[in-house]
Amino acid sequence: MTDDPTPLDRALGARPDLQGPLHDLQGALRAGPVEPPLLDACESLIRHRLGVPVSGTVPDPGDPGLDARTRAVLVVAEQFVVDPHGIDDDMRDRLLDHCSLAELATLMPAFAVFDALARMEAVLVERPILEERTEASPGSPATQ
Amino acid sequence: MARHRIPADVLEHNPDAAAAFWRLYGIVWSHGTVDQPTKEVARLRNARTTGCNYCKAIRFEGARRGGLTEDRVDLIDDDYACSALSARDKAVIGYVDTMLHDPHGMSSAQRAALDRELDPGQLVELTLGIGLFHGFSKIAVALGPPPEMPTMVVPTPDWPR
Repeated sequence: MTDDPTPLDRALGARPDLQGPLHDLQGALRAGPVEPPLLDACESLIRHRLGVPVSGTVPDPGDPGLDARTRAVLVVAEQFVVDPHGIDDDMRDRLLDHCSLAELATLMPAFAVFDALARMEAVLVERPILEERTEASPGSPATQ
Repeated sequence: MARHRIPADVLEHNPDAAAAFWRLYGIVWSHGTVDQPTKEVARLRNARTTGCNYCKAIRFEGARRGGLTEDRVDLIDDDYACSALSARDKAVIGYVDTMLHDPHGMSSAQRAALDRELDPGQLVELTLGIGLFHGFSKIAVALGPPPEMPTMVVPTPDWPR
């Protein structure tokens, strides 16, 4: 990971009161028991499935070269993005065969955060509505 | 037949991450600049679309106090665009739908509608909220979809809890 601000960081800079706690959550997930390369692979896969740019290789959950643990996690990560209702008992069983509860308590919110940030990046950064609006209309509509 | 069952409280097995989530979620809900009924409209639209029965059943009491009645909640359906909902509610629901279904496909009309209702900081707050609503409702589904349940008014997330 790099300390350089990402385009999404710059967009979130409009709300430092939220950006700090969001970074704290990301940090807590990265400090958890799941190895960083596996989290990186999940993040790349989720971003790719949502059409957001990915730096590096996008893993393929069907790659026969993957170990069983990585495959079990990536299969669920991919289904999480596409449709979580498609995560079945077999997928959950394989996940529990290879991951502790503490690891699941890191992976599941990591999937959620990766999914959320990719969608945020698509709407806030890809078409930079914040910058355009800040230049065009500095006024603040009243909160209802 | 499942050989294992993931416990419903699995997220508590990483207490640091759980605490960080609840801090962020509490700040979004109770210390933001977007009114709570607007965020609740977004949350309930996501709940309906994602198919999370728990998320559909709960109502945060701050939004209820702020005027989000069940009659208004009932209008957050497929025909919302032709309903008596306010222009603000309709803009927010359209934004939720875009984020969930086609986050690359926001139209100029949607952008203009949001522009009329939210300042840039509020847009960031609402967008983060929608992202969290969606991601964490998916966790509830991924662990094993919760059953249908009756409507329940619960305390609004806050930090410190």
